[in-house]
Amino acid sequence: MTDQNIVKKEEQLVGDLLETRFLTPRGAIFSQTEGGFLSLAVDGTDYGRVKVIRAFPFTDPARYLSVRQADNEEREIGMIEDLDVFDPDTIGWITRQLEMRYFVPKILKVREIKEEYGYSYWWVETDKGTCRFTCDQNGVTKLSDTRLLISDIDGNRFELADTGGLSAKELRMVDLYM
Amino acid sequence: MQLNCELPYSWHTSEWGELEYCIPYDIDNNGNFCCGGYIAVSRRCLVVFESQQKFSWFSLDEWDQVSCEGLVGVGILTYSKKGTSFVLCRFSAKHLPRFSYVAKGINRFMTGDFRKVISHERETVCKKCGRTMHDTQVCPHCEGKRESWKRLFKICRPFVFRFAVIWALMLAAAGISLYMQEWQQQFIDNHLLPAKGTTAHIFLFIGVMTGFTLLAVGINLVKRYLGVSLGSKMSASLRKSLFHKIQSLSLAYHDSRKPGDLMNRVVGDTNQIRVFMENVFTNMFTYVITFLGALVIMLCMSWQLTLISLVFVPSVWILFRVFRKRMRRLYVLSRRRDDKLNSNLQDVLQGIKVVKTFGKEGYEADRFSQSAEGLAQVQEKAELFWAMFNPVIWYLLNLGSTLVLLAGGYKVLQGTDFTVGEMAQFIGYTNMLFGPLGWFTNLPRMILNLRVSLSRIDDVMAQDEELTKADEPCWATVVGEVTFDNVHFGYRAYESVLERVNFTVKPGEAIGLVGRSGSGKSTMINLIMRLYDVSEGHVLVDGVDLRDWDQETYHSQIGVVLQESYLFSGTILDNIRFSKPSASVTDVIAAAKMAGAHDFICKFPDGYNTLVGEKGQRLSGGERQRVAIARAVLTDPKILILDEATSSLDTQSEFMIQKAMERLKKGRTSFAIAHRLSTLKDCDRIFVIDDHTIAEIGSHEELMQRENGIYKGLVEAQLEMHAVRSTDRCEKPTT
Repeated sequence: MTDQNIVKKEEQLVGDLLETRFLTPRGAIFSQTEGGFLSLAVDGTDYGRVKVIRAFPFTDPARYLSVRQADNEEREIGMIEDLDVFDPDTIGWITRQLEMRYFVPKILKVREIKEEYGYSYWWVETDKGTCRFTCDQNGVTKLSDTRLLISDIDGNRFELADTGGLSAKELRMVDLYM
Repeated sequence: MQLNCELPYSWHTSEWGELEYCIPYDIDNNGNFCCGGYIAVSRRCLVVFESQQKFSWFSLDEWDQVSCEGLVGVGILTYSKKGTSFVLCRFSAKHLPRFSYVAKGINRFMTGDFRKVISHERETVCKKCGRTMHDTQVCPHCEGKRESWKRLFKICRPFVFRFAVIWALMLAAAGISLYMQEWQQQFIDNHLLPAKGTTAHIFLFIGVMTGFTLLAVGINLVKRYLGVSLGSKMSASLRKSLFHKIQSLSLAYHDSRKPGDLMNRVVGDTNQIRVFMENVFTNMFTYVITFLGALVIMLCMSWQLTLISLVFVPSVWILFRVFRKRMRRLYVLSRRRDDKLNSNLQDVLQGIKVVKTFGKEGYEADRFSQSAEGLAQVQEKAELFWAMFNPVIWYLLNLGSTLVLLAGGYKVLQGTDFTVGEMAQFIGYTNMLFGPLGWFTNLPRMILNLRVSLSRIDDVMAQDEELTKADEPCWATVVGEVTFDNVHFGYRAYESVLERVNFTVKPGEAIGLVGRSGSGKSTMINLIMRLYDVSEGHVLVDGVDLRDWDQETYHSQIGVVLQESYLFSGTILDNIRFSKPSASVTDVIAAAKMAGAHDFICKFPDGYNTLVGEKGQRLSGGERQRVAIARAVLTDPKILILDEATSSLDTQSEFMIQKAMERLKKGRTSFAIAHRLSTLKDCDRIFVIDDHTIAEIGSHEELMQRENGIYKGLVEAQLEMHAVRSTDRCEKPTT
């Protein structure tokens, strides 16, 4: 291999890493695997099962989705700038993948928060059902002035979309952790 | 961790085989929380139960693999069949470790390996009460109570005499304050009322009262002094034993804890005990005795008046409790805002260079004002509330005395046997009754605080040292033969990092370890250093299992240089001598020369007495590394371990250190990890680690001759990169 070839090869490698390839319905064909996962072919290259990851899970969950290979290296195949430009089937499949990957129940009602021995025990109603979980001191992250992300000690996440929607009693309980 | 929970449904052993694993899942197909879902596994099949009636049965024969994937706040268990993956079930993050273990177990069954996966991880939720045991070994509620009192008793035992003295003083203080009222009554009734008293009597009264007061002040002073010194002594002795314990715990324990958390326990929780002893303990009995004593005397004097005076006690008690909750909320809030302000400030000050280079001073100032404002608001609220609440309480309490005055005065005027002096005495006792009331409402919280601190301390103290100590340890001098005999290891049981590793290294041999990052090179070295114990198999040094060596003897005979060397604040001399404090100055110089450090050290104005600063920051990276090497060779170790010792250095320093190390390796067994493969060329043998085990062994030349060898591939890739870099550099001026 001559030096110039090597330079070209490396440049291409770096180029691949730096370039953002956007996937559009014209080149990218998504389909659903037999097992309910997502697969992708771009310009004739079949990638098999792929993962979809949100680049901005809190601020822009439906846009800028990174589509990656499902192996250990997880190399990016491309990004979806806006999901809405795809056909309804594809939107459905991708949404299903996202729902499977991101399990962040939304807290609708705070029943009780009890603090004991340095941990806070929460009892809440979420859009996924009733749930009890335990947080340590750093469990609550403020995403904005009224929006909270609550992570429990096991790594589960809960979202409180709008603290303005809570009753005065609920707010008093939550206020301690904000 | 339990992997074989009780299955609430019927299991057909005859048809499906013996039940091996059974664990619950808690998210249904539609992504909602559910209960009653179980995964049950036998050697032949896996059954997903949704309920007794609804279950799906799978035969393990048809599958390629099972895997547990951790996603965001959720995990899924999948199986693959002819290259296609299918979801078996979903579960919340708390079940993730359990599923990882079971997935490993199922995969074993599919390869015909019927050993069961056993998890040594403990459950993190108390079975009895459901409270978390995230950072404690026993439930702080169910077990902790008894344990923490036991612990407190143990801590107190050496100070029994002091305790006795303090108790006696407390008793005396209570007695005096009770008796003062009695004396006052005598004086009023015998001398003032009949108007028979003389000036001398008044002076006597004043004198005695002053005497009592002075005595009380003196007793309180001594009591306070004893309490403070007792508290400090107890917390100091606790701190010492905690520190000792923390140091003796294995690295695996330290990996699982944040250093800040341990620091809090050594400093914060022991301090809590001091505060309790000073503020709570020394007053507790005085208050209890005064309270009970006053009550008994009052009842003896007049039970009707006592009842009248107590009318307001329940309401005051309730008020205290209700308002304390609100009060506490405000104070907790203000403390948290305060913490936030502090961390904001720390953040900005540490990154002041970045703030300035981006010209963001204004933005940061705004952000800071905002949080300062927030804190001010809460503090204002809290203080205002306290300022309003306090007078109300005291007014209510005084209302009790007023009522006594009213009823007592009436009684006196009626001319029954109730005298003016007795009334004054009675009012005195009423005040004594109310004084500690506020304090008592706070007591449960203070005791709770103490218990939390005790249980957190106890938790560290009760921790087993994970590395076992041999009964008859080996104290021998190390020769340098290292053998790995079928070693398996994983930091957590379900993630193996090394599997089936076998090799023997002869004394004096130089070994290079090569492999991708995360392949297990550093882990292998950690095992040689015995920072962790192997999960299976043996690591032998000179034919003796590492677990049978006396730890200190062994550690004093190995030398270690890591990528980022940690120097302690102190002088260069202190740092080199750290490995062997008894080393003579000549030895230190010899070691420094060997490490190529002597020259630059001598050029410092302060020579070997140069202070290196915190973490050695006053030295450059290369200098630090050479001091670290000198520290490692001072003990004349028979086994030398170099983990990326030169990778963070510039080319010239690296060259210097390489030279130094070539000299050092002579006559010692050495293990070196390096990303830059050229530095390993001279090793006697190179071990290539791939896929959790040793993939290739041989000298540089031997390995380079292997077609499609991993090592050969790595070397060629590095040569290419190097070639590209140098051509790049040459081309730049012309373009």
